[in-house]
Amino acid sequence: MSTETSTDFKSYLTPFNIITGLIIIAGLIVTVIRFTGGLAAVTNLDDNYPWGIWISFDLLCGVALAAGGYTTAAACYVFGFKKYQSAVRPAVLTAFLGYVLVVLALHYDVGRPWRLPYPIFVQQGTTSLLFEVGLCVFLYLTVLFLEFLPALFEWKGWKKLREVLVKMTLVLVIFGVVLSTLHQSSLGALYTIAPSKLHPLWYSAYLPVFFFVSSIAAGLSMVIFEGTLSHKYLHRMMDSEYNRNHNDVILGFAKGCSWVLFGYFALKMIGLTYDNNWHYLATGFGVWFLVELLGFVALPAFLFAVGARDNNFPLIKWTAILTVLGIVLNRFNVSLIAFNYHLPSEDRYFPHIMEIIISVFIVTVGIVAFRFISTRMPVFFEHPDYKGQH
Amino acid sequence: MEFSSLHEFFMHTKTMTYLLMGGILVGAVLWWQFLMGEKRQIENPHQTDEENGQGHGH
Repeated sequence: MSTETSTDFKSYLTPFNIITGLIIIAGLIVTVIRFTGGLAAVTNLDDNYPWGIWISFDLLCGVALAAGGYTTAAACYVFGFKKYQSAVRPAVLTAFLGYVLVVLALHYDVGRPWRLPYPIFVQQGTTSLLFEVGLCVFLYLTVLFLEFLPALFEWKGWKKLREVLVKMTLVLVIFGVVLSTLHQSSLGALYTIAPSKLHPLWYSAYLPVFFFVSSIAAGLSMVIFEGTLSHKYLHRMMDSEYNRNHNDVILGFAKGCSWVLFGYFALKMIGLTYDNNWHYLATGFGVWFLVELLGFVALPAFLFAVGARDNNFPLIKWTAILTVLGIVLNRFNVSLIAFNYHLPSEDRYFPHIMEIIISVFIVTVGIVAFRFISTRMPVFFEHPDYKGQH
Repeated sequence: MEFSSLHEFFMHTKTMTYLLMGGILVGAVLWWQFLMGEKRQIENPHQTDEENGQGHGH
């Protein structure tokens, strides 16, 4: 009996469990410090930088990288690419968890988290962009939850409830796309109120457009990236339908992403030209801007095109990682690196180690939740009772 | 380049932007062709496979 128990215990001691366990323990300790000692105890935020990496990474990058949900759902249900059907549920789950984690991160970042529902239910600041961001996140999170619920109902065997939600799929998808269009762009619009703080190479009246278009590329790349990881580590959960369509999804999304990145590059050039900012390219920030634009936008656009033409799947997968990193870099540039660019270096913000621990903790919680859900509910496979009913 | 008024600045940048947009339109067509692979011959329904250039195992 005791031998069996010790064997069971040892089977839980995998490298994944040990690492995630340590991160979660560290995260919980910092959580206690944050909510007992306040923001000053765990962050380097000040009056110049009221928003740090919890906004730059957890919120701006989290929302952009969760765009796979609306891009995949739109491709399948709005544009009629039914061959991407098998990619919808993993993408919607990633998006749903991404948005849940965004809201979780906001609880750490705002001074009085118990007031988060106020702008929606108590007092609406309808002239504020942040109100629009908050409203869209609230509504879109609800939509994503409803979009994912059929998987939960299939798992639980609640057929009638599932039928009601499945009938609403198209309405939910359209509502989700509209909400995403609104709030991906409104995150960019937030920074249009700070023309004197943001470096001219990143500041533009087109920031909302840049954020929206780049989020499509981020979403498509995340679906490729997440699909690749899932294929490696959750292959046992996938049915033949998912495996058969996997290559089509990768090739199609690579072509789409190349096209979107081309458009994004063109828009960035128009922004640069319209504001006549060419002379800044010869400065240090100009070189950094070119690294972002050429290395993380133009290069992936080209590599995706080459990969899709030659059916070169490893190239497409590495390019997806490059694109995801490029979007993260762009959001960091806008919200931190090129923000307050005129401040002397001693006044610049660098995140506290506890801020980084919380960000890593939140991502880890997301990975554990994804693994928990996708190994139980029909995410990578069709439930035997509902085969061919999507 | 020197600008003595905001109007002059806008006129200059707008002109440049229009030129760039024209270039992007041409570039977009070329990019599409590159992305979608080699150009395939359009079949003529009034010709045989061999006349359409598909008689060699295509």
